[in-house]
Amino acid sequence: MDDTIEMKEREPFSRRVLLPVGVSLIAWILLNVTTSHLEWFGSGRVYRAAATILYPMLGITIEFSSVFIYSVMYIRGSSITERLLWSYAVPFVFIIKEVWRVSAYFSPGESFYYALAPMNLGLIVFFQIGFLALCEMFWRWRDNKKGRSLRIITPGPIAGLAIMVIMTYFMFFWGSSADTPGTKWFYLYMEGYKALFLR
Amino acid sequence: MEEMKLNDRKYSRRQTLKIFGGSLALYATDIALLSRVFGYEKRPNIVVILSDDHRADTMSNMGHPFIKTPNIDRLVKEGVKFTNTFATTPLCSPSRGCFLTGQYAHRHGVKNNYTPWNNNNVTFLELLKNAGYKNAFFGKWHMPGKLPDLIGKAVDRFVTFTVSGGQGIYFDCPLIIDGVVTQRKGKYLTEDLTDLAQDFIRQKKDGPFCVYLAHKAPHQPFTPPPEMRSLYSDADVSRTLPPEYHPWIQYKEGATYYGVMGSVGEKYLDYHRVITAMDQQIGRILSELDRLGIADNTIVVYASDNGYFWGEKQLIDKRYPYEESTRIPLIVRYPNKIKNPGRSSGELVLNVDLAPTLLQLAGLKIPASMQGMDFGPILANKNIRLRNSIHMEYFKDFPYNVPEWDAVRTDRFLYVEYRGQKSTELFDIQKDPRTMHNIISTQEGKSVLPKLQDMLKNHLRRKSNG
Repeated sequence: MDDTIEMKEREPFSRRVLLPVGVSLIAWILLNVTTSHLEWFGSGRVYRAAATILYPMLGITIEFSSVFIYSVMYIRGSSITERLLWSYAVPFVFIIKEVWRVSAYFSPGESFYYALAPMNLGLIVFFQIGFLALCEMFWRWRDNKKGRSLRIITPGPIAGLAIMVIMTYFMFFWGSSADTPGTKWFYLYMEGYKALFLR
Repeated sequence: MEEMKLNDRKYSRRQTLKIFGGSLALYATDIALLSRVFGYEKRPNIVVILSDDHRADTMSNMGHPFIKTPNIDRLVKEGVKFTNTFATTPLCSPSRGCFLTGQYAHRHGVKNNYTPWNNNNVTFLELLKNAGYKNAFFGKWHMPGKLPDLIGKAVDRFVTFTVSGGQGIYFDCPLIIDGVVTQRKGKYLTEDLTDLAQDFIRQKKDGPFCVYLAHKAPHQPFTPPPEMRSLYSDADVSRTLPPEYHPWIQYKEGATYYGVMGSVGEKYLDYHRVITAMDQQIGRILSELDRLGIADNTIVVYASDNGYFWGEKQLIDKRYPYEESTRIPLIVRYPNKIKNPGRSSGELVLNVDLAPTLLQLAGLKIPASMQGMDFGPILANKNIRLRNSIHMEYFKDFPYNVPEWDAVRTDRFLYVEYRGQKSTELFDIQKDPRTMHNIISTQEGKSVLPKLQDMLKNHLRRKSNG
């Protein structure tokens, strides 16, 4: 039984990497621009309908583009390193954009620390690790059904899932159920901010 | 020998009556004089009820289409409503510091939610205590830094909380009662604090006392008590939500930090429910004052630390210099002194004005360090102009995506200068009360800009002097 899929036929770089990454980035850019200019849709029902459609799509693009990219790259024969690196394209660009955006209010150091906020680090980085682990297991299972012999449950994906579950708990549920979820981690994050920037 | 002579002296009946009458007159004069000079006149009790994030238009007395606030409305009917009151810094901790000290955030030092409270700050509670008042603080302190020991210095009872970064939680919120952490299982915070405040009022009914009751309500997560969970469910929110509201507003860039999770539409209704729940508790305080027969000589103040955006300009939370965030409710009831109750005043009033006003009403001197103004003459129905413009300020509060700003507001215009890349703004509030149209580049804008810039420059000069 194999642990890798290196025996898959590799498609050209443009098809296995540039296409899924490009499609995801273009989708994200378009959604980012349109949600920032909802006034283009006028007001009233059309405006609210546009928000109701575009905001979830934007969220899905940021959160799940990695799943799309990873899957396409898996099918088209990318190596594990290549898949992991490129799957982070949209989250990475999103965080860079956020750092740039908040640099209008904060110092460069603070702006980079902003990237470590729970919403960025938790939802974008740690969630992705778990999603990619699930992706890897799913496509191995699919390959096995097609007659290949791959080990589905391996230490890497299991560790990825564990990281996602643990970090999700600490970053978004830790604390009193009567409180806003995630406040404990947020206050820890703010203690870090005070220690770094307010001494 | 001299003593003997005096004792032996005889007075006629007429002389005795004259001496007695004269003494009585002298005694009466002395009492009146002493009362005035030394404040022996019965001093008013004070109850300050401060809420959190309650915007000024969300009360039935403001014509709100569905919220019910009968007890706040009662205060309006029996007191004076200030319809042009503003928070100098529209953020919880700084604004709370402003109410307590009568100073701007740049002077009292709590500029955001992490710059610590300076224990050398003098609150109006401390000055009242020095003058013989029995004081109590109940509720949200939420000033950064170590929790100060107010007992003995400013209050006789200090009940607060530190959970959730000092924000408290609506249910089962552990209270620190005179320094001792006390579990409060099964209690709803607004009601629990009211119970404790009522107890204190009963104990100190002979006065003078000052109760400072600072509610968490209606701050997020806007959790109503169980009996109010379906209140306003059939309300027509289209009349109160702005046209630019949409149900994903809390996911706009950077807005997730404001803690409004889940369905914003439901949260919006919860906000109203929590206000009505708080209004009920205000009613209990008013009833207690009535029952004890001390309502006439008790000043009751209702105010909030800042307002709140519910989608206006696609914003949520507060912090920005616009009306929804800076305008706060302020109602004062004082039956013994207020002339023509039920009035409204449109004078420009600030949160920093409360401390000097209360001191003045209590017959105390206003310290020179206080930057607020006494609005007592308005309560006495005197036709005065408090000020022509107000200065408001906001300091960086990482990680919230709002640039620092300073603003000047007159009856008609709002002029804002931001640090960083955000452009300067000017709004004609009379024509554009929702501050949707920046007129800085228009002819009208250009004509008024120099005067407003001068005003702001003067405010900033004073600010730089501390």
